[in-house]
Amino acid sequence: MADVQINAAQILAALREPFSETNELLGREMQRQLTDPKWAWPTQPSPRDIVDTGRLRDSYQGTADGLEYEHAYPVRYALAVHNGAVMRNGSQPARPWVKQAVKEFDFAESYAQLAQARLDKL
Amino acid sequence: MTSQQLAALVYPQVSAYLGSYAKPGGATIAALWYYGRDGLSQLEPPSDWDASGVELRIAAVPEVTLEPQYAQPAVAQEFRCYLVLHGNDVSGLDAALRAILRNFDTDTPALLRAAQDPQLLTQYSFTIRSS
Repeated sequence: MADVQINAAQILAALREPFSETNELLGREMQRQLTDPKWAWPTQPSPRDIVDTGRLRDSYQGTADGLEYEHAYPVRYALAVHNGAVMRNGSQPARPWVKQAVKEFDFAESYAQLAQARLDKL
Repeated sequence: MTSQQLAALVYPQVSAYLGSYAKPGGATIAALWYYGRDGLSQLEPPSDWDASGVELRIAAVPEVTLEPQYAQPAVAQEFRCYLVLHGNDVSGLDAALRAILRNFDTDTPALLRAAQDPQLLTQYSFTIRSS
């Protein structure tokens, strides 16, 4: 009979790294959404991307912290761009690039593939 | 559900807190606006309407989403909404938001403060989901 040995620490380590890698892929999908010229805008050109000065795009930070991962766009106006906003001089429509990335990116499938590859090497 | 049907459900919950639009000539109506009903050119109420107090804007056209379910995905609608403060009475804005959160399925409201940008009005943005 074959002797089966399980090393829980090795398995956990093999599962942790794909979590960060999958989040990195999700971050790339957010950036892709932001630069995709598909967002409706009240003036021409429309549709357009969400890159005006590039500051919002370039502010992206993906930070792994153990079993947590934070995606951030730390510029003051990021929320107004994402959710849209009512301004004194007119409104801007919502362009929810983060929400769209989360919708379109299959996190579970991507993680499963990366984790399986790691587990196969144990 | 249409935005008008949604508004018929929302309005009784928030009417006590809503401000008004003053039209040219002096007539006033509740500050409730369906934005984008004719596309992006209709994001705003007419420029000669003067808003005061708390204004509620509801997307005329919802975003249709697929909610993952055990068997088949369920179709849901999300109406993006803005509760906007024209003036300084934040308590009315917060009360209107609480009334909506108590009675409807929403995502987490996001607060933008006028102090962040001179062009910005203090507002909550959120979506109301309906199936």
